[in-house]
Amino acid sequence: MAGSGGRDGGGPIVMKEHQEEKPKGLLDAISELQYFYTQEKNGMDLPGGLFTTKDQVIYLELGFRSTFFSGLIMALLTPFSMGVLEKMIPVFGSTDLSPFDTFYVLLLTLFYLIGYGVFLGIGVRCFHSEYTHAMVKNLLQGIVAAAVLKVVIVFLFFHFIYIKLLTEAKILTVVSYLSKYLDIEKLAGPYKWLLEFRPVFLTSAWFVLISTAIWLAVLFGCYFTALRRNARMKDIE
Amino acid sequence: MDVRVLDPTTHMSGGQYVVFWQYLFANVFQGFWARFLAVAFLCLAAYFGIRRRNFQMFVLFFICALFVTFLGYPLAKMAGML
Repeated sequence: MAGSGGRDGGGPIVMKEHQEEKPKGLLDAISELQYFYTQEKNGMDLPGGLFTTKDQVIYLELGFRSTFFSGLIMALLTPFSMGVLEKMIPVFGSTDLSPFDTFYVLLLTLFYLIGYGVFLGIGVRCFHSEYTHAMVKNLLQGIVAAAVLKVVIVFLFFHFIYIKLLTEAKILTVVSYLSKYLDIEKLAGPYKWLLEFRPVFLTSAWFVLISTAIWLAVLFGCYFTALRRNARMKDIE
Repeated sequence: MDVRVLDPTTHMSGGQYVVFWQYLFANVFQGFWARFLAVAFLCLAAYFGIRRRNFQMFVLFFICALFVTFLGYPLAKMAGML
């Protein structure tokens, strides 16, 4: 594929042939973004119109797909970490947490979000002119849509567990059913534990909501600083 | 080659050998070594996930970190190794 441009509207610029290939993953998308960003910084002026509707859909889908499923799985692990912090689930064989354990469990919970955020933060800053800006905008839209949907699903799911699934009456029904087969004394411990564990789902729901909101704020922070950087660069030019 | 040389009970008593493994399991899933292993796995996950961008290795080391943190001790206890 060939495009024409340049700062002074000069000769033709040969673009990578792989541009016609659909990026398979986020890594491909960010690599492509970095490639065009470097081209634009070196003076190639790619009009935004070259980023066609098909490309927009691909980037939107990629942003959504890469964020949604992994984010959902990580969010579903949150009750474990919250259970640890509430001293209901042992960590390293003990429920007596040291400050290191608390920090480590929080890091483990947010690890994916932080790592993925660093990765995306680098990506969303790679735009200069219209073409790469359109790429970043579509990628970000997909990511935001996925993050919002993930939060809504997890928030409703955890509340559903608390309000409908793990009610005292339902737990009691299950315990009374199991008491036909198991010794009631053996069931007393899990029954008590489940009752105490119930509120962890509410804490987890709010934790996922707040951590995702902060994550999105940092991502948008990266995007807006890049916007300001570009405005400054254009003023200098 | 005499393969019996590979049998650890020819070098130490059976009791000592069992005690060695019990000591290993008792220390790998709790206390300092559990924390050390968990942090090492998490650092490796970060290295492969962010620096090398190898998603498979990231997932593998992350699962290892989760295992040492949450499951190692209860599973070892259930298996009667502690």
